[in-house]
Amino acid sequence: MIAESQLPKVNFLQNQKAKLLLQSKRIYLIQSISITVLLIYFFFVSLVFSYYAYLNYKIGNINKQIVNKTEEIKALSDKEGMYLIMKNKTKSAIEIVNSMQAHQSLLQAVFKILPENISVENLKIDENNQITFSGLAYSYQDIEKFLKNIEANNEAQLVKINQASIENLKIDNNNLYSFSVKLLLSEIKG
Amino acid sequence: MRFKSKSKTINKISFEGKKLTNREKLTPIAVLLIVFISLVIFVIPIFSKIGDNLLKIKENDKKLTILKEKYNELDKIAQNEAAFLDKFKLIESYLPSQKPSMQTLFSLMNMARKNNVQFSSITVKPGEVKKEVTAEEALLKRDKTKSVKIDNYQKFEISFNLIGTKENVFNFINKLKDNAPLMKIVSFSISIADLKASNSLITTKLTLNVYYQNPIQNLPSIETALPKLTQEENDFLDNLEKNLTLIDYSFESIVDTDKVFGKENLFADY
Repeated sequence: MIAESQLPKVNFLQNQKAKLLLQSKRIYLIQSISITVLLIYFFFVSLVFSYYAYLNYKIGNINKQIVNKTEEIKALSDKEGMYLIMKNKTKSAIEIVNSMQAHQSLLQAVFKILPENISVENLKIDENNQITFSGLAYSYQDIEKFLKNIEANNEAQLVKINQASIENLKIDNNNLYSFSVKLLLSEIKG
Repeated sequence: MRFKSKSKTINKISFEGKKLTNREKLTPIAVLLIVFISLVIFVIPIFSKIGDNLLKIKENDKKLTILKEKYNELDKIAQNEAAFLDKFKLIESYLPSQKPSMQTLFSLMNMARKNNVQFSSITVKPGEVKKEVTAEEALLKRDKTKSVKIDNYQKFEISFNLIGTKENVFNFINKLKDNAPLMKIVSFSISIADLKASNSLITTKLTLNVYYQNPIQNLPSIETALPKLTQEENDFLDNLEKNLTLIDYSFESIVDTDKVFGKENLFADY
């Protein structure tokens, strides 16, 4: 026989109670964590939605400003047009004047090599810097001087003469020499 | 402290080595489901919309900056309207929008009178004849694209004879560049007989190209930035302002209206 004091104390109710306590604690913890996660998630989602709403507000605001500025610019359309016309014309005028100045420099250089006693008729200069003219002179020496000047120019390089030709040299009854000149020029030094 | 440590122990005991029961799994699964469904339905589309909006804001900000700059430039022009109009009229006289046949004739006649040379045998080659868009018509059209249709400059030829002393004729030629409309000598002839005597009259035949440019055919879209005048263009306009001689083409300036010829009253007696 085993004495009563030697028997182990078995309390099934207490164990069951402890088990249930642990279980409810687990459920409580799981639910708390889940709800906290859900709350954090909703907080994050609400932040995202707020940011989206803020961006929409910002777009609306910018669009409003764009509309206002567009209206203000439309009211100044005539000024815009006049400004663009002025801008384009200035650009074109500069282009023409530059080409005019280049021609003028070439012509000045040509006049430097042209003897005084030679007169010029139908002097033309084209876009390729080709100068053509008819010359008239009372003496052959003037024509000779002109040829010497062309050679001297090639040494001094006042103007680069790529091609020079004197054609149709004629003399009439009054000893007047007539000839035609073609000069193809390209650039001027200095 | 004691309570906390006890609770930790209970937690450890309660989870250690144990699988979650179905009841315990329910809440996390529900939370995950809610998160997943809301992510798919709301959050992911919102993120894509946020991306679009950020792009839109960037574009619109850029557009707004251009518009603000453009408006400021135009406002500056409007505030200094008188100075701007002077420059505009100047370049418009120098490179007119329409073929400047009459202006050229008046300008040449005026220069001839001032330089004491006779002006004769005028030949005008009108060049291409086409419908020209006026500036007013152009300003009514605003293109949705950023481009502005610009006609390149055009020219027509005018040739004439000048009779005068050598000095006066060369003065006339030198002053051509300072007169409007823009003209460029393309050909000239001087006869030998006259050149021999320095003070006698010489005859010079001049052929000029006279330039003009149709205005822009449309305005660009509103969002297109206003191209700024370059330093070269500003200098050119300033120079033009200083050197260009403008001619008054009004009837009164050409005809002396104080001298009235003929009858003032058609029914008056002789």
